[in-house]
Amino acid sequence: MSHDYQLISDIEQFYYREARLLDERCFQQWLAIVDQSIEYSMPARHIPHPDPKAQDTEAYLSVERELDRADGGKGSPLRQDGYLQTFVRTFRPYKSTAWAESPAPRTRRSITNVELESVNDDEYHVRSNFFMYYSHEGKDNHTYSGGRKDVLKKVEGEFKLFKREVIIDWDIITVPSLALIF
Amino acid sequence: MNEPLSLSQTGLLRAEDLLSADCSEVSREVFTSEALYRREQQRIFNRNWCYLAHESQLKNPGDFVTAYIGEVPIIVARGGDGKITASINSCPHRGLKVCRSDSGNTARFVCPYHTWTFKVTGELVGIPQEKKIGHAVDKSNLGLKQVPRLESMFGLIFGSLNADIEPLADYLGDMRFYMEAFFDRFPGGLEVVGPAHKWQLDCNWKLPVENMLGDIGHAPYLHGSLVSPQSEQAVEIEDYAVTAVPRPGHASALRLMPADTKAEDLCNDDPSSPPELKEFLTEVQKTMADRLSPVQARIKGMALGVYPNLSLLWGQSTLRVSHPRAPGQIEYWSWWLSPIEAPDHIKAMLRGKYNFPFGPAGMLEQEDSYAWSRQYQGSAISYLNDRPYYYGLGVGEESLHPELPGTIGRCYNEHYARSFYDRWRSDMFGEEQ
Ligand code: FES
Ligand SMILES: [Fe+2]
Repeated sequence: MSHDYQLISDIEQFYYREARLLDERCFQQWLAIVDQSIEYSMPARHIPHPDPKAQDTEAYLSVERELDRADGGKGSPLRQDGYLQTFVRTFRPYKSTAWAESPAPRTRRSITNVELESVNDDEYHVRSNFFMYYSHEGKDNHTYSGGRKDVLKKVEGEFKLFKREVIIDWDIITVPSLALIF
Repeated sequence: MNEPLSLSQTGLLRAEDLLSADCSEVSREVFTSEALYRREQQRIFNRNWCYLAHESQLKNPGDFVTAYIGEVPIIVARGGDGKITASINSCPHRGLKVCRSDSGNTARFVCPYHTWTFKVTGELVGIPQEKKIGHAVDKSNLGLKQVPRLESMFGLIFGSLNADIEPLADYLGDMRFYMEAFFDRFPGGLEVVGPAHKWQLDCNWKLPVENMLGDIGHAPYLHGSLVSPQSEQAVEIEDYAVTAVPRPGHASALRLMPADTKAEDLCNDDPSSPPELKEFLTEVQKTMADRLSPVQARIKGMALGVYPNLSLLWGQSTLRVSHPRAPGQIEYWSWWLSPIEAPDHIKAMLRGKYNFPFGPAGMLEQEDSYAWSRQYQGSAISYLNDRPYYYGLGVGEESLHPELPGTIGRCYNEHYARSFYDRWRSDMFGEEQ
């Protein structure tokens, strides 16, 4: 596919702004860039038994085999949110009773490896990586890393998020919570 | 300054210094002492029945899933003959784990170090070095050590490292009444879907267990951002909730609804559930009499726990195990249980009742994790060793009940925790068996 550098740059700018809104705890402004039809998911990740028949091929080390997605009702992902759940996640932190987040964690997100995979009609399929530093109350400091697969569309000239899948890298999760927005 | 010496520093561990007679006072050291932690591995995890896996995870010969009893790694498998076995996952040669996967189907496990090979059920079948050795090795004693006792109930497979333990049915006692009320709710039963969700928490293993035995008192407060103390749900809880202790260590928190409660109100907790889901659950409720007693059918459950470390959240259909790793660290494993016969789109809705509030990305789970890890930090203040925690809410008010088995306390009575620590004390300090 030929490279439309302006388009790629616009998508990167969209991500940088998104990361800044989240780091500055402007979750309500972030929600404004999310479409009401959002599908926000996070597959579970486990260690499958190696398939001896796949040896010597790339399938032997397939990341896909480690992921457990919603698959209708047949899987058990860590997260499978629509707009309602996304809405609740963004409004909860502003309550005095959101104990896990008061005092508020400090976060710093770096978004990298932005790869425009394809453009289908009005859909932009984009992959990116995130690296997030998280610091909470004293020395509760953690690093988060993961990949994202997004579907963006332009609505009235602006990008909006329609779909996001977050791929995590832990086996046993060692961060305090994955209830944040990535 | 006269700082009280920690019991582990003095090497003295005496039950009377840790717990008051009625367990309404629990020492902070119960959560933090390294010496107690080591003793717990011997006297609690090595001696009781511990949850290992669900039968639905082992449908076919060769299926296996890994588990723990305390810190001991276990492989639970269905052998070629269809029988379920549990082996300790450590090679008899130099100790490596022979299985490093979470689950799967296989004929053999191969140890990485020298390629000794084992059947899925643990028998040693191959030693490649043997061909250049003068004498044959007697393989019959070199299989993976077997978990000596294995029994299932309600599809839950329990194992015990204690060969002399009482049968599982006796161990559970009247806890079976409450477990049945959950596990036999759906025609066709329940199955575990997907892998375990696993995360590490900086807390003592007993606190999550205690929480899910019956800590109704934290829900509208710790989780106040989502569950208001004024909500209909919270009011219903204050009116009808009880905690039942059928045997010290096990407990269930539930609402026993009046006999004239409508079917749709008996099974629906969440006013925001989609109408289709409410209808599905109501239809299931209407056939409840086929599977449960009238009293069991009126139970609107909240949580239950089986000693020492299995918990269940009822409305969210999640099983969880608190695996000890250090006085202040656990590995928490959590699974979603789905009704086998529900249509796919209903399953998807039910799953949301688990993974939106609970699990590693759960909205409520993050508050629990926060509270449990901060409890550990508070417990580690040795200057406060003379100030035990107060577990005295409702002390002495618990009693027998005309309809429910066990000792029953109203709503915020902490007897479920007092009896847990009472059981803990007799395991830890009772006569060696
Ligand atoms: S340690 Fe397992 S084969 Fe040597
Ligand atoms: Fe909770």
